[in-house]
Amino acid sequence: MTHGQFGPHLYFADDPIGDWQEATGLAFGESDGATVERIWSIQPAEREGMLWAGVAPAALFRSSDAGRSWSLVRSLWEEPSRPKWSLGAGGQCLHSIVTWPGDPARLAIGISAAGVWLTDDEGETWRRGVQGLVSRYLPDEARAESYDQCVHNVHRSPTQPETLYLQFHGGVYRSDDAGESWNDIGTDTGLPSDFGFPLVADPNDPDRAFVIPLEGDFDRVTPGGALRVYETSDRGVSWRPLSEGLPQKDAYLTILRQAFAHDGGNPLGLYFGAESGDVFGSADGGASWNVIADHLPPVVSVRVA
Amino acid sequence: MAIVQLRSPLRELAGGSGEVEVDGRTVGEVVRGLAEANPRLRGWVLDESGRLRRHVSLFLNDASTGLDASVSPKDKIFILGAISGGAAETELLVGTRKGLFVLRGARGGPMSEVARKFSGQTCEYAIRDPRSGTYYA
Repeated sequence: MTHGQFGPHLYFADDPIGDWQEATGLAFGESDGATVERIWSIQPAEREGMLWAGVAPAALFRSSDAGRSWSLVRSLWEEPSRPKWSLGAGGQCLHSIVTWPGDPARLAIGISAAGVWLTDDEGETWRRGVQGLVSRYLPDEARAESYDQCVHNVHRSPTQPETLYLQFHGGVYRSDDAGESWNDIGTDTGLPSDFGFPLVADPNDPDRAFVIPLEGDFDRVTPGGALRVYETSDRGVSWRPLSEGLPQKDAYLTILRQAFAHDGGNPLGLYFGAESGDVFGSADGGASWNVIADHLPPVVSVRVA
Repeated sequence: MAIVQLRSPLRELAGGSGEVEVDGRTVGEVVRGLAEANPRLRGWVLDESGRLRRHVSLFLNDASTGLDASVSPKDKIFILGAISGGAAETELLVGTRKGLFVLRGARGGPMSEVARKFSGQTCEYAIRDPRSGTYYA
């Protein structure tokens, strides 16, 4: 939660309708020279009682007491390359925390704009996983040495953990080797645009993923005034639009990074919200959609409880 | 006595307390004792024939359990409505620029707002940890 004047704070509750308590420790130390500006993601870890949180400026926090208190993961904060990391348009943020089912040591994180980082030792050491990502917004000659990889979203297929899907700042990618390298699945594959933020990987089918493209970097609305979710069921070889029940005329919506979610069911339940305050849902894997709620304030995130 | 943990709407039906101590040697005895002490809860957890309702889950401490499980003093029993993954009712956590909205309704269909928390603040992210049932925002 971020209060306009009093900054970000993290809360927890046993009942979302009841009282929430504030967690402690989600802050930098006095000597770190930084202030937590926004909490981007909270993710249960693969160890009992442990959670991860990603914030802006790009940093990872860990809780070992079910979210009551938090501490900075210093190995990533003090990563030697950090001075070379870039800012995304929304600030430098750690927005994607991708656990490995059953293995608490392995983790992938996505940072805008500093690429994908991988650890095999629960955050003690880190390495980049950016081979194959193309920063088209940089001059050709600057790409090889740059740390400016503007990752927008990363998700893992839990039944085949080596498979990850990634929405880039211009580009959609799939990794077959747990995030070490990436394959372009956004070019000439049926997407109206390979720019966007929302992404879902089907938890029951590693070949299936969903994106909601936006027109482009300088026009962040649904292309052509039509609201369409795109589905691949062949690992990104091809994408097809899903639009039944979604507005197809004069619908210039913006769907933000964390505002697209699934319920894990089979058929998969899918939900997303827009800055317009509309929330849409599907109980049949996206084949048909309903308005779940409307006239809400601009939607920033959607998750199924 | 076992400690029964309740969430909405059961909590309100039990007089607003999220934690109730109830006697019983089994989970079933505790659940029945809970309804006897709080008549408004009758029919909510167990159906007319005394069976656990299909979309209600029981946990004894950290593990899923049934009505026949033995209970020791200070054991914690959680009574939860199944709320995702194909269950009858889905709960959505919708973070907005003006607070967290908790929506409930049929899976994939129109939902009702059951709570708005942190009014006026930006909720960038909200999630429920499926292992513990704890919510974070």
